[in-house]
Amino acid sequence: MKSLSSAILAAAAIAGASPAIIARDYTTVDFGNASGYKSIGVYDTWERSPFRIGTLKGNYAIVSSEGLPTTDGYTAPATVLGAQRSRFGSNTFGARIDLTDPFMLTPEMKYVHVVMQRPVKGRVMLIGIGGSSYFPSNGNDVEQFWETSLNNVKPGEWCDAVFAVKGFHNSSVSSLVVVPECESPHMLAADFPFYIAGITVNDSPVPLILKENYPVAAGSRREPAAIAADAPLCPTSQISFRTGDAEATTYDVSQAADHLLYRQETARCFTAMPGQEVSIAVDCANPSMADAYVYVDWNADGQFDYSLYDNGTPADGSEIVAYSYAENRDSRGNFLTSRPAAPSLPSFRIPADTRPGVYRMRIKIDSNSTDPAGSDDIISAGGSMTDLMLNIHPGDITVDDHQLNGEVLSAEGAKLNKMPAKMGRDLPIILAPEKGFRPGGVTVRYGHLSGDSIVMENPQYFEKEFIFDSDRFTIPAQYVAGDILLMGRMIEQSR
Amino acid sequence: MTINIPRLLISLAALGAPALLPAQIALVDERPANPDNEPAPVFPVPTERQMLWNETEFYGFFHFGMNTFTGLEWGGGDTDPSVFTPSSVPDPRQWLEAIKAAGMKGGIAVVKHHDGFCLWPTATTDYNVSRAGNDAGKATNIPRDFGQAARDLGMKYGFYISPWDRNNIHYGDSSYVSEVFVKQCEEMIEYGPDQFEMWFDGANGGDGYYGGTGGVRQIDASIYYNMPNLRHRIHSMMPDCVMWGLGGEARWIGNEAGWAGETCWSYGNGTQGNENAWLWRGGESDAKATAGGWFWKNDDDMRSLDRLWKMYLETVGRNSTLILNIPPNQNGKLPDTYVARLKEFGNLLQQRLGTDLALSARATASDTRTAGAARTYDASNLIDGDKDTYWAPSDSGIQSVITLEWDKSQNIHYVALQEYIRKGQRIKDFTIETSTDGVNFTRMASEIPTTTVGYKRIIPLNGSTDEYGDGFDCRAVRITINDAKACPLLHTVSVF
Repeated sequence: MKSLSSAILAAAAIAGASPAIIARDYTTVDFGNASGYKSIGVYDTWERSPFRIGTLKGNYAIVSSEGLPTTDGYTAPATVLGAQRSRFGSNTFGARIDLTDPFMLTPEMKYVHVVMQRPVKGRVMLIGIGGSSYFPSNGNDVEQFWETSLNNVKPGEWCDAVFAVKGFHNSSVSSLVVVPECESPHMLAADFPFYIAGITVNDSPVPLILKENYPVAAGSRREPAAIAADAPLCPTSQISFRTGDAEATTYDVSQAADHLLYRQETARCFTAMPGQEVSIAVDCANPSMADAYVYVDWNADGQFDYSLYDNGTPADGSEIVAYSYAENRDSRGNFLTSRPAAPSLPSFRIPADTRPGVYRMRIKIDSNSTDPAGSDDIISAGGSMTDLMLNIHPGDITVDDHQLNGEVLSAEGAKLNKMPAKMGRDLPIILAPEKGFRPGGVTVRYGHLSGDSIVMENPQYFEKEFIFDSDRFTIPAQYVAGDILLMGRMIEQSR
Repeated sequence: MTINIPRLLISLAALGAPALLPAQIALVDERPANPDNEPAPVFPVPTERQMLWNETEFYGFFHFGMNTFTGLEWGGGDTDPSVFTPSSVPDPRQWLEAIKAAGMKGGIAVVKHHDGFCLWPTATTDYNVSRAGNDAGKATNIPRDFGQAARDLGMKYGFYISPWDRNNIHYGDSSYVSEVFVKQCEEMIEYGPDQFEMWFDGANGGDGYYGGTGGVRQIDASIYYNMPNLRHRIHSMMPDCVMWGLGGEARWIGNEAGWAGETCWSYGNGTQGNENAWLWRGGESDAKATAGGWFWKNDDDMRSLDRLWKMYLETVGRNSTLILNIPPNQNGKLPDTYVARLKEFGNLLQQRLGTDLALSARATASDTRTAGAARTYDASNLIDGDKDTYWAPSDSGIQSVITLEWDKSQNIHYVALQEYIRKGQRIKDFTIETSTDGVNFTRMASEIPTTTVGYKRIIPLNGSTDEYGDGFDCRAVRITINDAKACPLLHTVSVF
């Protein structure tokens, strides 16, 4: 299983935070070529599965891709693997492909790209089956990894589901099982078909189908375009975020050095509670020519819906939450005879029914355009786009600890069993090491802890490590943001 | 358990490339027969070995080794083997007899801690009992004697073998895994194929002796130990052996203080698990029966009966197993005071949970699933003492009510529920009420989150895991399932 850090790293790589990688292919699967794979079938890890005990056979075939839904920017091969997701299989039932060319797992990450299509939502899983030269008696039918995809596989279109895999030296993978929906099928009313166009194993996490989440104009988030140093709007310098009367949180996002159109700052997070009024301010050069726009991907689908009512206010379900000027309106619907002297973003309210989570937020400087990807002129105008995270959580939070060689206690010495606390306030704690250990620090995990660790590339929680040798410590308020898990660092006294 | 795995594969090469491919795949109506009208599983579900492991419920943990003689908790691997000098050959039979008296069903013995000192004459390293400082030390063979004693006593057994080895010069290299760690695990197989759990501690990497080279060695624990292939190897030789921790089949409950979350799913991580996780990993609470460290110290004493009782209710009673550490001393035995406390606890357990009043009740349910050819789903299945029969409502009967009634008033303290988890953990919200007349009911333990059940949930009707109280007189108990992932399935309701 991947660690969170490696998953986040890989997700970040998909999102474009790492430099471009030249992919080296280790193996490929092509269903239009008799030598492109060895054999196909179905597989289920559940030991009582009717597909394991021989009650059911499974339905799979090489079929034509003609008539399947198409996807902009991708041409499916004429021949694909089709399979039936049976509701009588488990949550790990899938299509098995035996590889013509097995590949080796290594301690370094490899990426398996499965170009697939399915009609449903839900997690996608890849199971690797193979063997190890250190265990010759095991044979080659050992499950080597189970991985859910790093990216979201949208229903009804071709997507490249990317899986990060690694393993011990000399472990080989000779078969792959693509699980189209890693969810319990007990509520599934009917079976559904799914299709696999091909599989590639390489060392690049970049999806083969370049339909980006959170797209940007003129290029991609991976390779953001540069704006001219003397463009009229350049540069954006900082973004301030404030809820109610609280002190503003400000991040420096200066474009001055590299003049890139797009900045990914998803390691940075603003925090708010459902129902709170939020004010955002953006400092940029030449403010008299700049308009500011703010979007939040409330439904975590990788896109910012930006539909407006005729009066310029955001439509129901719209994800443009504030803008200073577009077509003589602002996001409150105020009529503006001309662009204001400086972009003044109307405040907006976090919907009271917003579910706790960490949401993608985009702040854009542009010229008279609500398009979240940027106007046609954004490059020449010298605009900017910055993606950050918005951590939404009710004001009442809970604090837990992982106890190993000691406990983390409240300031009063009480156990932290879901201890209630208030968001955004300093949190004093006590470290109580076991006998033979001394305090060494604490790692604070904060955010949305009860669901998937990554949703649509976006980490749902963050970690901050504090090193100290006292038994008392106060966690700064900025890290008391969402539910908290404290992991005490206890050091042996002999060390 | 041996599974036949039909591959169900077709070879394109064998068939030849089809001239005209079908456009899209035509769905077929393929479904298994269901003569018993069984409800569909809610995944994930446990494997058979995970079921057997869960049924162990309460078992002992024995930290004994070089640290017993140095006073350390995590030895650095640099202690001379001659320091290991038990005054008599360690007596695992005495350990196991003591915990059996406490109501435990098995035990796990440490055979190698992070210091790397092996408590059996292993061929993988000379840092073992063969170089102990006295005859009793040289005669020590914990896996042999522990396994034999457990079999004699009809108890389950397994071994803790530390993946981290602060003595071994190869630690951090692949050769340590293939030539030392894996072979040590394989040597354990020789001491009995019927082991129920192999314990792999999560402490991995850091500073150590490392054959005298010292320094800090870090590893990527997610792959370093070649766990998928080791797990398969262990299962092929010991089919009922759950691989704990790094092995991925049972999880650490997230603390060492003896409690699990009141909401506790058998998948995910930590005290509560995660309702949406995809892999079954039941929680195990590792806790200490003594007030000090994991290893014996001269000044350590057993915790009070009340504290041990609280641990039991907050682990076994919250869908977790409890592995309770009782450290043998330098004589290789449990001190008399420990043995006495364990016996007291066994008596307390018997006194408080030994008589199931539900067995004499009448059980009814608001909804009962239609019987199949060889299986019924009546409420009477809840009180028949058979874990393989269960009550089930119809598929739509998520909100269901179970009532137990007696002709005479009963004084009760606890109600225990057990889901039929072979078909998945389902219940998300329930309430318990009692009645003195069978008509008017009063909600009990309303201050406790009565959310999940899982393998077992024990509800103290007074809401307290500290106070036993005087109990409640009643003639009826009503259990209402308010929410579940699918129709709830319970195999046992117990009343104490």
